[in-house]
Amino acid sequence: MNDTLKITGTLTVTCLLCAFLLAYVAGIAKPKIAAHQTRERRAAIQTLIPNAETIRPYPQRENLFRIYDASDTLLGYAFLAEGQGYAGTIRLVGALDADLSRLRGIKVIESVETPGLGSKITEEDFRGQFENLKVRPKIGLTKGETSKDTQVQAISGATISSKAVVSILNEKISLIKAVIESNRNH
Amino acid sequence: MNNFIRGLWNQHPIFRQLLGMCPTLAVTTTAVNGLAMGGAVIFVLFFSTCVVSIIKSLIPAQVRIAVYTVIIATFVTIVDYFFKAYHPDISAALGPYLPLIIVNCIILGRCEAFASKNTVRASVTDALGMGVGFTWGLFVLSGIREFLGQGTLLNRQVLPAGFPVLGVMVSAAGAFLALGFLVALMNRIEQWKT
Repeated sequence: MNDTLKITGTLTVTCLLCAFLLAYVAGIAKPKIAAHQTRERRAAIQTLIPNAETIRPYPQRENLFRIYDASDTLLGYAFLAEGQGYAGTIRLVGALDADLSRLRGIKVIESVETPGLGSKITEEDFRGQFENLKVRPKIGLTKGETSKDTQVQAISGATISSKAVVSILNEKISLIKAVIESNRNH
Repeated sequence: MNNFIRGLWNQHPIFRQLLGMCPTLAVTTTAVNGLAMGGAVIFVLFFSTCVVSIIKSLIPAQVRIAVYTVIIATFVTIVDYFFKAYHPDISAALGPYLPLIIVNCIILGRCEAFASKNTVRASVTDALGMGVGFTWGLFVLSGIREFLGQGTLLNRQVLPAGFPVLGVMVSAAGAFLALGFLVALMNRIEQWKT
């Protein structure tokens, strides 16, 4: 009985002390971490839409933002999307025109694709193809020369990573379209 | 003094005890990552062994491992918050391997094998020795991989641009290759000494 008490007591006290310490540290760190994330997101959005001035979260949607310029005109929408790549999760930021017809561009912010092959999804050659790309009806992927203005060329040797980026985008864009259009009709 | 020296060579955590292989192989792609991981491990080792050696007589033997784990996890979480708040780039590069220090056997190993039986002074000296040993091991390994794989060192270009680099050194296979050669080299040096 005494042993049980001692064991329970020790564990309880240890965990309580550690929890208090961590709560204190988290209180200091959390605002800083949130500020970093906001700054990072802002920087990423501004590389896609250089004249972006105000970034407002879309009502009741996480990871979707309305982008305005200095005179408060709607420039378009920015979004965070993620999905499974070849090696792990790919997270990216993208921006769409205000009428949702074209992508302004994308930026991969997190990926662990194979160095030298799939990792090229972060490079200009691949990334640049998404600038002003038409997204209706959906983005296509080709291994040869692009023949439509909705197509991008896959990275040779990294078809799965290229496909992953395209399908993450297609999925997210159709979702955004549904959300925004249903809001317009109300 | 002996407590400190031991971790640097004779009982080197990576090359002699082959402990902590997960971060050793995973994060040593660049020298900066290696150093950051080493620094984080020194911090956690120092404070965990310090606390464990102070409270060693208060902990019932049946739950000692559980208590050590909670203590280690606490310090690891503090380090994790620190990097996320002040060095988000390093935090992103180390990814899940920073929180995974919790299960790094070097730390639990030093708590159980040394700090739980020795004075605070001896324990923290031992922890510093092991931590510094781990760090120089990571630094050498990551330096070799960064140099051969990317032609840079501490993010500075050292090989002329266009010089052929060995892409394999950045991947997991390169980690095993480099580690294998380093362990072999350590063993060879030991043989020469005797």
